[in-house]
Amino acid sequence: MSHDFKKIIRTADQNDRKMLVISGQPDPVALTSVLKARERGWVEPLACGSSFTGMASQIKVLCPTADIQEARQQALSLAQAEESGLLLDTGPLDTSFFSLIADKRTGHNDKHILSYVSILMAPKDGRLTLLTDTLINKQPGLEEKIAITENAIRVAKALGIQRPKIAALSALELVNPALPSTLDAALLSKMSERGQFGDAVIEGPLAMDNAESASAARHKGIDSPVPGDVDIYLFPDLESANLTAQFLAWVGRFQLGGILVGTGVPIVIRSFLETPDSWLLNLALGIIANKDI
Amino acid sequence: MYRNFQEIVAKAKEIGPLKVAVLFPDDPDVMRAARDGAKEGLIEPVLVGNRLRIEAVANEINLPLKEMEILDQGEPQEAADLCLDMVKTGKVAFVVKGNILTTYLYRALIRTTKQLDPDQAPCTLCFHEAPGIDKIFTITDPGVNILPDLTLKEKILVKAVNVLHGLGCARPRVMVLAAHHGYESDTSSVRDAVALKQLAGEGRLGECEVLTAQNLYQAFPGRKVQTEDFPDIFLVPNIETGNILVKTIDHIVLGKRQGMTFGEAVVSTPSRSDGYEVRMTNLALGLVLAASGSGEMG
Repeated sequence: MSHDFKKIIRTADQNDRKMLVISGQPDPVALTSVLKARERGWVEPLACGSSFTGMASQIKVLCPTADIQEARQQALSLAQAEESGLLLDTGPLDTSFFSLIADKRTGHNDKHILSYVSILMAPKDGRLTLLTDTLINKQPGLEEKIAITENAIRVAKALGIQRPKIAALSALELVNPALPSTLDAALLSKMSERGQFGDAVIEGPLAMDNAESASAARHKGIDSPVPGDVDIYLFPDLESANLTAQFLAWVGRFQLGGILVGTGVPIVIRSFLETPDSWLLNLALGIIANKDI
Repeated sequence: MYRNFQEIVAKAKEIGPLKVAVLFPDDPDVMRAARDGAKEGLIEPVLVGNRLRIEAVANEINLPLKEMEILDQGEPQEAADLCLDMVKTGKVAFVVKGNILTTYLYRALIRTTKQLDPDQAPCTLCFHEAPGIDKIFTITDPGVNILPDLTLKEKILVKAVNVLHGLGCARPRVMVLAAHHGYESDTSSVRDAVALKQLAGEGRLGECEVLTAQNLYQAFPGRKVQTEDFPDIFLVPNIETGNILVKTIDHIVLGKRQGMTFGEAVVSTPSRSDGYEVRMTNLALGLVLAASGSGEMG
């Protein structure tokens, strides 16, 4: 695990022990990570669902129902009832899982829309870099993008990034009515200029080369503190975010972390974008972000 | 298939020199690449742009212009059109983009292609080298088509497959990219992928294999990415995905990227921020592509 990811683990070490409720299909790697987290003093785990009874000697099992969805529902209620409760779901991350946590009526998600933030160590300078939304919102409009941005800013701040610099990406850095994502990016940029995102700077539209390199941006006449110093990449849609994250993981061989945001109660998952040994990292992210997500 | 750009450069040296239009060479890196391309026997440059600006930059890098042909045309669209006309009449083999907005070249290329072969869809292919993958692979279309529908995707693939054939890749592996959600599969890019696989089966795309997998996760669930199984052509669902992806490969994954646009001509379209070395490789790639007939398909 890289240096900054170790820092995330150490930050989690400094938190008070929280209650962690586990649901989903038993996953040995996930459970090993949960036990490690217990050893480190992060969590006191318990599991929901009869599928976990096999590990009752290690983890207390409640609500012994065989119905995974019912167990999830109960796990969520338990985590919510606790002042500092977390949910960890070991999958499968299917439609029923997402509809359960996105259900506004249950109050799990009455304020925000759900989004996913992938976390990467930038190879050039080793800093933490956030990519969003890599998993959930297919074709976000401006309103969704505002929420996705706010979600990511909360994660960045929880990770100690005081004034996140955000690149609103598109295919080019000029506003072009034929390419609606450039309009969204320009509007977000203007909103940030007017302080509508608090202490954060959004620049956009930016193409990836002028987001990544200050000199490429200067070459195109972009005068902004964001290029070459990006904390959060805001992608125009799910295709671009998800496929770029896949190239980073599969071709670039970077380890990614990931965190679900907008859930009300922290919910730790491992998406296919992360390797199985990322459970501890994702759990640490859930612990650190805790109330803020 | 070529394994890396070095092999392309070596091949180009066997082919050259070819006459090439350099559009708006009034940038030191562009001018140096044109000068050294000529010195190394790759190209005979025809410089197209504002004569005064060309002379000023040539002076800056101590380049005597005596032996170079200059066509004085400072108006960007006129100059781009002039370059395409020269390809049409066979005066030059391909066009290199210099210090000019790509839009002008795209417009000229689209216009020329429409005249000569309206069924063809001009599109950009980026050629990549990436660490751990022992061959050049391509991503299309990160440049011209914003949100191609199935018909347009078919045309883009026909072009891409043809270009790869020209580079000696007899049966390119094609991945029609679609995001992996894990919980939803009925998106237009997924449907198009299925349809394109069918068209490939009917021989409508030229000799190629459209893969069932629609992203790297599906193709390599164990994350062991192997060169022989790696796609030769990635078709992206929209221009944002393509553009962000190709630039992620050189800026974050630290691989290499070369942009080329195809229609009734080969147009090299490096980014304006690309430096000297990228531009030299770009000349070589343009040469190999032009010599393979990539811009002349019916």
